[in-house]
Amino acid sequence: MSLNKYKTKVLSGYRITIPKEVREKFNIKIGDELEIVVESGKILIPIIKEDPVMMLAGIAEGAPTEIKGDELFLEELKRKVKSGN
Amino acid sequence: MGIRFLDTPIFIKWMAAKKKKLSLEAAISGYILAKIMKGEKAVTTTLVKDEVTIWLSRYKASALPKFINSLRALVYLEILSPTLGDQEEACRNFGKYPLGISDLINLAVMRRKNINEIYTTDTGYSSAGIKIIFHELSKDPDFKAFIKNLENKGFKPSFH
Repeated sequence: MSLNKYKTKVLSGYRITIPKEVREKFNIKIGDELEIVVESGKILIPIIKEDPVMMLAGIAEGAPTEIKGDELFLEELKRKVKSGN
Repeated sequence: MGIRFLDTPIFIKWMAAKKKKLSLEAAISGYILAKIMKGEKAVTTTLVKDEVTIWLSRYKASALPKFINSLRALVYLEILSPTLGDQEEACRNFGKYPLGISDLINLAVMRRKNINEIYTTDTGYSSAGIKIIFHELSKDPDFKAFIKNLENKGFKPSFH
């Protein structure tokens, strides 16, 4: 897992600026909500544009669920070999 | 309670949930993810992530960015990469339990990390001495509140 570090200054009112590269990477817009998570001396700031769990609810509604991981990989492999990739 | 492993069916059942006929399995799966979102530490592997990715690419590829964003936001979920040692262990166990090779790799990761409990509907893991945590979660005090919240969002449970 890659780790990128950014420096930002605490301004009056304890405001901070999210570095441009991070804003662009995570598509953070003014008005978006962020969460402050404090864990073992670290501060994590996950984006809560939408509840990440609710965001997934039924996004592939009705798709078959009784399928094994090995079958998925095998079918992906078959497709790849068949198409000559 | 130790850290639990999060298996592929939990993501898949939640993503395949039917809004007008929400099954108990789909609801429990969503509840598990919500627990992790709220701060319960859990572990999964890149293998699980990739299984879900391949499954989703087949049935709703346009939803893949949402899945990735959701994984990013699940900061309490640690995604581990299986090692070659895990693969060797999986090969040694092949045929020993009713588990496929990808499950056996996950099993090797769990054993390496001393994880004895798994969130899954795959009963094969219990024969390998891993405790499956799933259906009993519907008895959790917070499960009712989770269902109420889903109902407020328009979901219609097919169970009571």
